[in-house]
Amino acid sequence: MADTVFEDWTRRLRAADPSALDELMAAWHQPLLRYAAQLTGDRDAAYDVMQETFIKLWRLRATLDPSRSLKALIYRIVYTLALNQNRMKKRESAAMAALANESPASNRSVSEDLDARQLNEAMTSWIAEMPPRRQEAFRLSRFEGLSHDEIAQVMDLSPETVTKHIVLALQSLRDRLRQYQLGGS
Amino acid sequence: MNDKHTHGFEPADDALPSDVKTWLQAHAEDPGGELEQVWHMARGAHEPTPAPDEARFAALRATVLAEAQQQPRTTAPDRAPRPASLARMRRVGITTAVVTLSLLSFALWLWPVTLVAPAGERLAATLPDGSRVDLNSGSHLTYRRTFGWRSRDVVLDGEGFFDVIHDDTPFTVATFNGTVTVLGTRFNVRAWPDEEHPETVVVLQTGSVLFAAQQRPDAAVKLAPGHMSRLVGSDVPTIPEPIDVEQRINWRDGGITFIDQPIGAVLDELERRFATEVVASPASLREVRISLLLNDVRDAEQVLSTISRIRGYRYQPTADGFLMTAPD
Repeated sequence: MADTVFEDWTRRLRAADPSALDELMAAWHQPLLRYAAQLTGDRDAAYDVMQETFIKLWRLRATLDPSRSLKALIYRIVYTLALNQNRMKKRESAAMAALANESPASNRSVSEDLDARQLNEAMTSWIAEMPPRRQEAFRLSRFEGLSHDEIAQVMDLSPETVTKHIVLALQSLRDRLRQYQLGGS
Repeated sequence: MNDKHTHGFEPADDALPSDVKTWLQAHAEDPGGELEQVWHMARGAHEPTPAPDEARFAALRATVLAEAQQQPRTTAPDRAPRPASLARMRRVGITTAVVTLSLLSFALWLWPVTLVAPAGERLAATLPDGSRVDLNSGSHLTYRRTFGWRSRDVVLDGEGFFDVIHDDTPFTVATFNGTVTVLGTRFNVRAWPDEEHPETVVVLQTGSVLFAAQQRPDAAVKLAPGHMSRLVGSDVPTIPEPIDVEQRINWRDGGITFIDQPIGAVLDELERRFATEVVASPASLREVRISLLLNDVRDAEQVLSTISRIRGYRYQPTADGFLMTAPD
C-alpha cells in the first residue's frame, strides 16, 4: 500500500502549500508531542520543539525528497532539536528519580496475575534504564511505529545497527522480566 | 518501509519487525519465541502521553502558519533533491559548523515575536513602529523581528484594537481567514477561529482600511470610519454597514457588546475574559441569539445574570465556573 498521505504532503510542501503543513500538524501533533515530551521530559519544551520542527520542515520544503520517508524526516528533526536543546539531561534525571521511587521488585504481585498497569510501569522503568541510543531505537520502533529504515534515518545509524539495538533491548527486557517474576513468587 | 500510516496516528503495528525476526532466526536466538512475547508485552510500556493543550496547539499552529505564509509562496525550485548523505556532510565538518552557526543565529533572528493576553487579562503593547495595540483576553499577536523593515505584518488570533502610526509601509493584520490592510488608522479586529461560527469582524474608528479574504485578495472591501464588515468562511467580506464604534470596542474598558449573536460566543468571551468555564445545558442553548451591551463588567456572574434575566434561564456556580440551564 502506498503511503499516499505522506506522499501528498511531500508534494504539496514542495509546492509551498501551507495547507499541507496545517493538515500535517493537525494529524501528527499528538504523536509528536508524546515523542518530544519523552525526549525533553517536559511538556512545555515539547511544544517548543514541535513548533520549531514544523517551521524547520517548512524551510526545508524545497529539498524534500519524494522518494524518502517524510515521517522519518519529521522524527529526525524532532529528535535533533530535542537533543540540541540539551534537555536530554532533564529526562535522564527524571528517569533516575522515577527509578529511585520504584518499589523493589520483590514487593510486586505474583507473576500469574501481574497487574497490566504494574507491568507497564515496570517495563517503562526498565526501558528508561537502557543506554540512551538503545532506548531511542526501541521507542521509535515499538511506540512510534517507525520502520528500521526510518529509524536509521532518524538516528543516523545503519538499519543493521537498529536491528541490533532492538534485539539487545528485547533481551534486556526479557532478563529483567525473568528477575521480576522470580522476585514476585 | 512501514507504510501502514495512511492518515494521522495509528497505534504501532503490533507485529515484531521483520528485520528482528530474520535476525533472531539467523542467529538461532529465541527459539521459544520469548523475545517476541516480550515485544508484545511492551506494548503499553511507553511513558504517559502528556495531556494535549488545545490553546497551546492553537498558538503553535498560528505561529507556524504565520511563518509559512510570510515566506514567499513561490514554488520550490524544481531541482532534483539531493539525497543528503550524512557521511558527506560530516566530511565538510568545519564549514558545516560555521554555516550551521550562522543559520542558527539567522533562524533566531527570524523567530517571530508573539504577544499574548492570557485568559483573564488584557494586554496593551507598543509595536516596533510605535503603533499601539490592545489585546483582549485570550488573544495572540505574532510578528517577525523584521517588522517595520519594508513591511508591517502581524497575525492576530483573537481580538485586538489597533492604533496604527501613519507610514508609507502598509500595515496588515492577518486572521485565520482574512487580511486587513491599512496605512494609518484606528480599528478593531475580532477573529476567534475556534468559535462555533468563526468569523473575522473589522470595525473602523478613523482612517481607512482594506479588508479581504486571504484566498481572495482581489475582492477587498474598503471601510469608512464608523463602519463594520465581517468575513465568514473564505470568500468576500460583507458590504460595510454603519455601527456604533464605541460600543464595539468597549471591551477595552472592560465592557461587553454582542449584537444579535449566539449565546455561545458570549460564553466563550466570558471564559477568556474571566479565565473561567461556563457550560450550557442543553448545549443548543449556545445557539440562541442575544444582544447585550454592558459597560464595565465586573465578573462573569454579572453577565450570566443578565442573560438569564433576558431569556428566563438559570445559572449556578460549579467547581470550575458556572452552569447555565434552560427550564424544561
